[in-house]
Amino acid sequence: MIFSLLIYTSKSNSQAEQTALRFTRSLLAKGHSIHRIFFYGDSVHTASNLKVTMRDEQDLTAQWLALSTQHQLDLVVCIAAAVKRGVIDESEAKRHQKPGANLQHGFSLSGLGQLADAAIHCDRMITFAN
Amino acid sequence: MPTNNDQSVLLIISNPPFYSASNRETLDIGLAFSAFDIPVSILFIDDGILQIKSDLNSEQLAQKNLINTFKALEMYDIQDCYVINKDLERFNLSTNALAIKCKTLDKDAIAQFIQAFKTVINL
Repeated sequence: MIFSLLIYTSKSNSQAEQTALRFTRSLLAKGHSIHRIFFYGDSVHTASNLKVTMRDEQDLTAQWLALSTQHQLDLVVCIAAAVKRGVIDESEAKRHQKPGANLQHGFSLSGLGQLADAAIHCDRMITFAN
Repeated sequence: MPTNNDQSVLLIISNPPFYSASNRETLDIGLAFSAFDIPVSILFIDDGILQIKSDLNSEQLAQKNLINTFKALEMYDIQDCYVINKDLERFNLSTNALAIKCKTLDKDAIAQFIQAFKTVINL
């Protein structure tokens, strides 16, 4: 089956994203394919490269990247949600005259159209929120 | 109810107004999906029904009132909005007190209703 994931909460206040990561690993292990992982709401913070992870905690950004490298996952971050929360790439930094960009390489900013595309092209879209 | 089971999407709004960004961001999903000709329905459930009360006043909170955007749903061809009878009773509301036109569902029919959609999003 073709799956897409919609992630809505940030790791700093919810278990949901950790669950999403484990769910993704299970899907891949079972031979399913993943069309897209869409980061929306506070989950956009996952794509920031300015976070510091405490030594005894999990670095989910690194784990998504490792999984993405291994399985060519499409990690898309909602541009409207990201810009609002201070997660920006080079071109958004220029457009809004900000001093720097912080989007982790391996994630891309795009619109909600990518979520619509995911809803159309996958068999199941699973939301991880709250 | 969805006519095209292959693409139908149900958005569930269950948080009260001014609680978090979730209602606003759910609404944005609806508008974007509609632009892609995906048939969108919205279910207001639990405290979510308060989001569409026509007499909401957000001025004192210095927050944006979403009600005008909700009222614009019809222009985006999103006409299938639903509330649940037990929620109307709980808040002593009638559908006349709501800013948008909603159909009423019986609480016992909700599971079957939700099951008919291809995609369900509940933020």
